[in-house]
Amino acid sequence: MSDHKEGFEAPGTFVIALVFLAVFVVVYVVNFKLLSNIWEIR
Amino acid sequence: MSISVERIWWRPLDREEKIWVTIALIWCLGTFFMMPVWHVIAKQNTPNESYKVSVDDFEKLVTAFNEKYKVGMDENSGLPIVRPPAGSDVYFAGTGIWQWSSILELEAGKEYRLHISSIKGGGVEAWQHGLSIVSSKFNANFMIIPGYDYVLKITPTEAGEYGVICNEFCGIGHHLMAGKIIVKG
Amino acid sequence: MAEQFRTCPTTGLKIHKPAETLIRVNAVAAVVCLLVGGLAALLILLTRWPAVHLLNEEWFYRLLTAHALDMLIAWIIFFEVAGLYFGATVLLNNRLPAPKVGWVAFILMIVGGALINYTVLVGEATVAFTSYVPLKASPTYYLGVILFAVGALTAVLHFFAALIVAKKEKTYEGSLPMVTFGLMCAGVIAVLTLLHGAAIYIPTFLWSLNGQWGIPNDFFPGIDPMIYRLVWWGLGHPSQQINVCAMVSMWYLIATLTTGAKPLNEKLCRTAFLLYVLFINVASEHHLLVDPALSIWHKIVNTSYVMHLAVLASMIHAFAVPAMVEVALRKKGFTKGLFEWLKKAPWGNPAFASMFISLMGFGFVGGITGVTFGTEQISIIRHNTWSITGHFHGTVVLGTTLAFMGITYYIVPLIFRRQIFSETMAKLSPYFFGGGVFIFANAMMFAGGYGVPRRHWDITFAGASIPFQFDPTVFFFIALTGLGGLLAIVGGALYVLNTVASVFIGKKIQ
Repeated sequence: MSDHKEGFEAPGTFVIALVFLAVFVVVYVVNFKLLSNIWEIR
Repeated sequence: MSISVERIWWRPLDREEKIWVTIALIWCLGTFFMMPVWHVIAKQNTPNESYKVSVDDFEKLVTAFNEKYKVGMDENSGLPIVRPPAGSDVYFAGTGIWQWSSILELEAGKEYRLHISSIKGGGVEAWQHGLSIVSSKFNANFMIIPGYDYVLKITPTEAGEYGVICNEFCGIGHHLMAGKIIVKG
Repeated sequence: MAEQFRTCPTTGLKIHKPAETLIRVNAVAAVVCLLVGGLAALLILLTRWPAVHLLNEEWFYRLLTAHALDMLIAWIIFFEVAGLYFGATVLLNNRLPAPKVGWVAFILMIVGGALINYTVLVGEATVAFTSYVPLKASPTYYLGVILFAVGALTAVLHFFAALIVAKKEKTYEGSLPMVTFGLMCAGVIAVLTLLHGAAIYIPTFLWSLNGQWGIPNDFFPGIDPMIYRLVWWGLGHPSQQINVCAMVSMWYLIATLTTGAKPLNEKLCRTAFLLYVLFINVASEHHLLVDPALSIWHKIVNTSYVMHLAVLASMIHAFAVPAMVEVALRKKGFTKGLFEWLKKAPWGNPAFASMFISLMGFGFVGGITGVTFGTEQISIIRHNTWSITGHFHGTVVLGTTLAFMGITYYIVPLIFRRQIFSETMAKLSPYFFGGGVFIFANAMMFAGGYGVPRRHWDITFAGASIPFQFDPTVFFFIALTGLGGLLAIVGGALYVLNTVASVFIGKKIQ
């Protein structure tokens, strides 16, 4: 990140946004994992 | 005070805006394509088969099914215990007096065509219900709509007793709708 | 004409007096509805908590119906109407072209809301918010909804008329301010939504007349439940997207008012609003993912807002608003490290605190789960469980309601010309409310993960003929829901009391 900083007007917000995306990915993946526990349904 | 907003607001995006919009767009497209991809790679998908059926006709199908494969009776609820052969068509309904139409006994590892719909069942009306199959490991939920036969091709994977509850508000007896499916190994 | 305007001494804004009165009455009606809905919330909460289980089943389902209508429809739409009038007049130095029409709209909404509440509370409309056929309410219930919707539609069209007047009379220069632009997008979505409402509530009203008031039993044919669901959700979900649009507009407004921030790139933000208008209305199909009759591709394309392009819009706003705050605060000298600006932000200002908690809550709690649970296959494990209730309390309560609470602290001095009654209450309210709903919504989602259903009086199934028991863990999460809910109710009560006290006995501002 450090080399990007110079051109960034809002680096803090960018980090928050990346944290948001990380949480999003985790929630999404966990839900697909939970889905794969159920009976086979088609 | 006079209000004035600059007209020329189409200046180029800053660097972090560009990066973020790109990442977000890729993620959004990813979550979109995940849905068709999951249909190909996995075995838990929403069924695509359904028919229109009158409430009375479905009630006849349920009654005939229950009589044909009945193996016993649950004393407390008076519901028939029904054991259909593997691979067969299973007719299962929520009733107007807030019960399920039977207690099913299925075999693990075998596929069944589970037809779900709503019937009056001696009650006043065929409501909309929510079929919710619950165990300590998972829950699976499908809508029961009067006048529609929704065909779920299900394969119970593990032996055990599974709860069946209603999770769509269907009137004052909604919270009494509990039942079970028994899966034999 | 000139005597119909006054100039605000603090902001220098020109305020049209008849518009000001209409903003006041709509805002007051909104807060009254929040109070009624909040009392219902408390009683429902104490019933779903098995350790308390306060109400009997009849009153539980009645108040559940009333809670949804008073909060999701009445509180939010009254507040939005106030917001629309504000955005089209005060922010544009403009007048409201036909104040009488504004009063007609207001009276229709009041009468409609009163009819709904009366019918539900006397027990003739225990049909839940969705009133899925063949559940049937008394005709006065559907009539109330129709009157309310006609009133709301009138108000929205009046807002558009005011925008045209402003443009013709050149009351502002250049482009529409972004807040008004966002509200205009909310208005477009509102028109589409309310037309869906008419398409479903009018036939349902006619059907409910069968055998009532001396009308024959076969007066109107039954309504296909699947068609009902499809059209009803054309009202049910997009109406929440009006809220999203209005809420995001409030984020921009509060960010500017509290920190002097300006949007970094108006093109990007306005494009994001346009994405809402173009793609968000199809989101209604979220609710039909595990229904029969609809095909897989139909479900995938519609639930994903075509290709999750409206989700992209939210991700743009959720970046743009904190970014503009960060840039403004960095200009004030808070430049140390990544987060000095965040630490030194005006957290003691209740409007800023509300906005920032609303922004984070909407994204992290409501938004992520909305997209995830609305995925075609994941709906199988989430549909109609308490997870869904948790999700939309994250969006509509933690997001929209808290944002509207935040802007109130500016509306009261500007429009009601009263000082906020208690600064302490104002400061505490967003933290209690935001923190409470955060715990409440998340705990609900965990409980829902175990299969706990929504809209359910007794999850212990004490009266059922076949026993059923949930995993005991759920009772921990339900207790947590109860505690979070109580915290939120304390925060909400602080807000309502403080607002009412400010409006009626707050110190007058000259």
